[in-house]
Amino acid sequence: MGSLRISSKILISFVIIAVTTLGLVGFLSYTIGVNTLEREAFNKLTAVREMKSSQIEEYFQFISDQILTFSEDKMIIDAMHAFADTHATIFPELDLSESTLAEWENTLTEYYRDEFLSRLRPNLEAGRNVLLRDYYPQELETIVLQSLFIGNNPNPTGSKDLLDFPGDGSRYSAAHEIYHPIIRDYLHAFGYYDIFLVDVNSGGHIVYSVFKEVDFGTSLLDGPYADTNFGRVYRAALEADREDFGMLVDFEPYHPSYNAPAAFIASPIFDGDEKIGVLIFQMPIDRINNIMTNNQNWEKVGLGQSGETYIVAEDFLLRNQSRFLIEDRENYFKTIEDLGTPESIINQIKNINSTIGLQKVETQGTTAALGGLTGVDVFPDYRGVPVFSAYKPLNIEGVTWVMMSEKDEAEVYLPIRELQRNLGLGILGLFALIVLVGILFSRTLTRPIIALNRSATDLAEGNLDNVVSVTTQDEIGDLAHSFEVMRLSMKDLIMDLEDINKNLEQKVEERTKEVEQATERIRTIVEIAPDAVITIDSQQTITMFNPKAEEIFGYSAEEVLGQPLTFLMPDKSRSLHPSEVAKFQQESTSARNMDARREIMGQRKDGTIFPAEAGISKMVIDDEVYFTTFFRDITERKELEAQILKKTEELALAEKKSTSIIETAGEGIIVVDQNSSVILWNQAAEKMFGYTKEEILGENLKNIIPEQYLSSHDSAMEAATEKGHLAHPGETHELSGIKKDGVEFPLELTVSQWEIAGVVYYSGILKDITERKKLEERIKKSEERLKFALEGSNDGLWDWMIQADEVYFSPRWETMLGYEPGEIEPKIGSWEKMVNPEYLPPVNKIMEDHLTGKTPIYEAEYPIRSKTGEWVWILARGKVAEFDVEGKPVRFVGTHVDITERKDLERQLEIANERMSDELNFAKEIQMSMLPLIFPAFPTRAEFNIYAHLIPAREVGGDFYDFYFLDESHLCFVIGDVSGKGAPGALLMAVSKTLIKSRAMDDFQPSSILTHVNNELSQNNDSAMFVTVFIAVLEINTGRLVYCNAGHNPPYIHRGSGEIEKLDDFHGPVIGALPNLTYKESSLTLRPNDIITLHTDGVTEAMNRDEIPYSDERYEKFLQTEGLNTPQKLIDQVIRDVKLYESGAEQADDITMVSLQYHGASDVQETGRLELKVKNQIDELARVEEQFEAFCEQYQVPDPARQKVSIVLDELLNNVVNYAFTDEKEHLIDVNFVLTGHRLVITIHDDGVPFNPFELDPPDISLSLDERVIGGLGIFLVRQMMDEYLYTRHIGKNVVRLVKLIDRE
Amino acid sequence: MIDITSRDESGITVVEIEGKMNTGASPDAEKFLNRLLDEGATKILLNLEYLDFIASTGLRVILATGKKLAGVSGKLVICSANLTVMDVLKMSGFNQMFNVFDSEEEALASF
Repeated sequence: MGSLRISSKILISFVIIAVTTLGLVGFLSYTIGVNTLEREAFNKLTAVREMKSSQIEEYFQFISDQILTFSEDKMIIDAMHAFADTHATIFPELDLSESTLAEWENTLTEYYRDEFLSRLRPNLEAGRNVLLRDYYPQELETIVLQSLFIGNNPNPTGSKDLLDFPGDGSRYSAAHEIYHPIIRDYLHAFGYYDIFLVDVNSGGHIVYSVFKEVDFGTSLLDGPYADTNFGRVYRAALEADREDFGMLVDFEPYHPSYNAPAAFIASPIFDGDEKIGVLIFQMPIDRINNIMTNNQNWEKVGLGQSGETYIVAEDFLLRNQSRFLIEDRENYFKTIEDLGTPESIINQIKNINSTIGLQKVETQGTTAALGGLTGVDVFPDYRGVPVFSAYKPLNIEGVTWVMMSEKDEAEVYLPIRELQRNLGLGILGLFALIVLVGILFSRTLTRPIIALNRSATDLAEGNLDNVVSVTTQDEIGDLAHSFEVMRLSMKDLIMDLEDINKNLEQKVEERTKEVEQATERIRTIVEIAPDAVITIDSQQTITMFNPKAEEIFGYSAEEVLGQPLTFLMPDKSRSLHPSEVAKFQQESTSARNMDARREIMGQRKDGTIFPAEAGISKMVIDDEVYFTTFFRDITERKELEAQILKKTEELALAEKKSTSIIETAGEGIIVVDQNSSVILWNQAAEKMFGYTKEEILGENLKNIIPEQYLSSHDSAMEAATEKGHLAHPGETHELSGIKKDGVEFPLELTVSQWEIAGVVYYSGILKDITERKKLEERIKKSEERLKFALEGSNDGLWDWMIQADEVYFSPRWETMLGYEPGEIEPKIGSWEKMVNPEYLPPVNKIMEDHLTGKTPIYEAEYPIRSKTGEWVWILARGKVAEFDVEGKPVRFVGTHVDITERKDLERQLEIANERMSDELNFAKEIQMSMLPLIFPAFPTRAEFNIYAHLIPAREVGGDFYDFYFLDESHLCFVIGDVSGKGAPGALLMAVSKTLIKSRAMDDFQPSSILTHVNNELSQNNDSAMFVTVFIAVLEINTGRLVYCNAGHNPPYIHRGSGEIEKLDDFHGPVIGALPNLTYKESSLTLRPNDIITLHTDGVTEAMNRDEIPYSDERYEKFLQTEGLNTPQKLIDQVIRDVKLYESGAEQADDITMVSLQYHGASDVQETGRLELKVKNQIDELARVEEQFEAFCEQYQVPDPARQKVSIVLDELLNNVVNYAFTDEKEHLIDVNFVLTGHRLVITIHDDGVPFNPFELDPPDISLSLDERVIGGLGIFLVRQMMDEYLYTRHIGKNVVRLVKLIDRE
Repeated sequence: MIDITSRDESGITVVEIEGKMNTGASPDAEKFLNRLLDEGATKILLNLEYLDFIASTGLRVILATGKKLAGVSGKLVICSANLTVMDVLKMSGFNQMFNVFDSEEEALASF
């Protein structure tokens, strides 16, 4: 063992493990399989046994019940009386003549002999003799009865029951005619073999039977059948002294029934207390047989191919048919014959084709069951075949029977044999697989070792340049790493040594390297060159011959190497060429360029001579001169050119039709003259460009030249015209052309020049290279994709060889879960252990679905435990990459993506959703807190009265309203409805309301306000919610109302005169949806007492229980009938009507109304106004002070007010001038004074840096002189001296609004 | 805009300020008072009878002067302010830092 290679050792280990494991698995599977099958077989047999037992027992119980019932039947009692009374007197009654009697006896004897005995005889055991006298009745009345009903009965044997009345005059026959049909019907109804009435008073005569077999009329006490089981059962019944006595006797061969087994059940017939007879049923054997053989459908009750149920009595004889006699007759007889069954029995069975009462079944099971045991066992049955058997004694009074339920052992074990075979195959397969895996594994394991060994050998041989490239992560990898370190150290050491003569060697090395590199590069280029490349040395001997050259010349490289170059040329050129080369050798140029390409002739191996284009370059390596010639076979081009020449000549001489070769050439061919006029255009060119000849001939070629090539075309043409020849004839260019439909496409162009009759023509051969370009592009793209996929992916990769249970987990797969690469055992079990157990079954199901081909791709999300114990959510995707020949998946490959973050977010979202209801309440609070709720809102204003009401829906509907003074004389009021609900809706409502208000404060125009707010909202509205708004600005003093409706429900105006107006003009769409809209506006004038009423759709769309909305019509009608009222009353009435209409249906949306009544201008008019524009210079303050003082004088503003306003102006303007502007430019500050009654409103606008003066902390005025800090005092004074002050920042301006109430007293 | 005069009343420099002590005028007032301090005045009575109003810049001048006088054991007293000026003095707490009298007589008597 020690000398074995590692790979062999591993392999042997694998084999040992495999044999042990598989052996054990096989043994266990087999044992478990056998046990299971046995248990199952017994269970099944027991079930059948119980079922059949209960069927049989129930059947007998039924018969027993029936005979008792029947024996008590009045009809039977009457019949019994009638037959008993009449049968004995039949002979005297008939008074037969001697001859008649003799004739009757003769007939009866004939019947006995021909019908009865001849039928009975074959059914008896062989050799038994039967004599007429043993059966023929002795008593006269019996003979008469049998003659009447059997001998003279015209019906055939077996149908004697059909005779109701023999036509004689006896009383018996009269009684028979009455009762026989009834009893016969009964028999047929219940399927008995026969029914008998037996007389008890005159010697046990059978006074009646349905079928009239030969026992009819005989005595069961001393007649021929007294010793049968029939006689026994009669005598037992005779002894019985109770009516409910019923007795069964077991089957025995019964001669009157031709020795067929017959069982009887008997019950005494009582008339009152007197026993008058016995009722006896002969039991049908078929019934029992049918039950036991399940009407010969054994398989239906789970008995398979060999199972049967049967009854065995205490004589160990069968009481029903054997399945094997019916289904497998020949084998059955062969078997029982082999078992030594007497031939007479076999013959009997054959004759009556029945095993009943004949087949002996003395087995381990029947013995046990007859001993009273119930059980299951395996033993040979009556055929000597081992069977699984379930047996039990039957509980039927009068008989000792056992029930057997059996199935051949062979059939029971049939699945086991299949299992054995499958198991064997499986184990063999697995064994092979394990050996294979062992080989692979040992290779994987030994490969690095071998590599390492090789490196070590290299090292030992002194080769220090081979990198030790083992990169496995195990101990071998560590060893390799150590080796690598050692190698590098050694190399360093040697390099140090080498340093000494480095200078010398380096030069040599570099030189060699250069030469090598150059040679290598040339070799590569040459190998793939599209031209034949042939290198010759200075002796013009061929030293290299590239593949293309081989192709063109038809020689292999070996054939030409060492040959002179002339070898490849036709004879006539040979003499010329060497001198050419020699001349070139003397030239100083190292290469001749494309221009220098010569047209020469080459000769192929097959002797054909072809035109070629040749270029030559010279190279000096190590003072050795090499020539490299480039050959290009230009046969085709030459042919084309010849054609073109020919064609062009033809054109030039006589404009004939083009020749077919040019026309049918695959390449597009175009000839132009010096003016670029097209004079030839072949079919391929037509196809390529879409221009027909008719369209293009005579036209300028520039039509098909893209712009970017025009200038080079022109210059090339110019140069060619000037020089008289093309700069680069025969050169191939890659450029593009334009099709007729304008599409540009790539093409390859070779240009040539011709001169015919002094006229120069240019021809172009064109090739459409669109497809090639596309292909190149596609290759490039797919390469990029692949590259991207490889480099860019951050996914973990797994690759599961399913049957080998070998999983490759990529390093990223493992690091994703916090493991080091290679740390996880590469088995699917490793993964299974890591997956969250709750998720494993569904994930396995998804995987199973994919592996069984139900889904095209495997995709599952589940948490998996990382090394640190945290759950990492993974999105796993995969696909079966390989199937075996049976279509079973072999290899399953896929990726892992870490989606923990996404899952976290989803969970947060869930939590957020759960909190939604809380948020709804919160949102409702926001909504309500934003609304002005105090009424009367402006108690001091007599000019108008405004009232509003909002009833929120259970879920926030997002309605809002608002109203405020823009200045002393302008009231703005708004109503709106936000499209969204819940918290986002409430938020948008708050934002909209605030934006409208802040804009309105500065911009009194409703249209402008909405235009502006719409832009603001639209720009930041990611949720695509919107707001319907109606906004109006009322000029208090005039009643002039300017309004703008952005998609909101039209308001109504109650005129003081009584009529109602609907303001149904719209000025733009809802706000917040689309930016950059311009809203319009309308205006009207409110007269005193007019009421304008605004509402949201919560009013008109309120639903009743039938979900019919309140409707605009109903609302309008209601307003009309309601007429003029105060705003508050009006709103209350509407809402009451809406609520009445809803009649308890849940309110789905907010119900909001705003109503304003205009009372007319106040007496107090604006008294004065002063508007100043102040420069940002400190000396401007004095001017303000002066003008304000004059204003105060004009309007009699008392001094204290004036002085305080002056102080405030000084403080604020001082601040603005000194601190608001950061640049040196001049700015204008607006200072406006409006005096209305006793209110003086001062507004200061500056466009300086945003600054709210009122945010400053007030100074501590309680401090002493020493402690006081100067500053903050001015603003403090402002706050103290003004009645109202407000700072806002609007449209790039600081706005300070101050109100001073003037006490004129 | 502002007109400041001073006179001596038995060692007490009585300064009368007429006009408005606002941003424009306060520097003038400050210069004037500083000059008096330079000349050695230690007892200054500000008679504000003809002062229309005083802004915070004016208050700062008074505060600065008061501090300087305190440094030389001098004293600044105010008298005869109109309602508005009085309000400002009260609002700013100056009435607690300086002695403020209704009439010049009372003020002079307080030195």
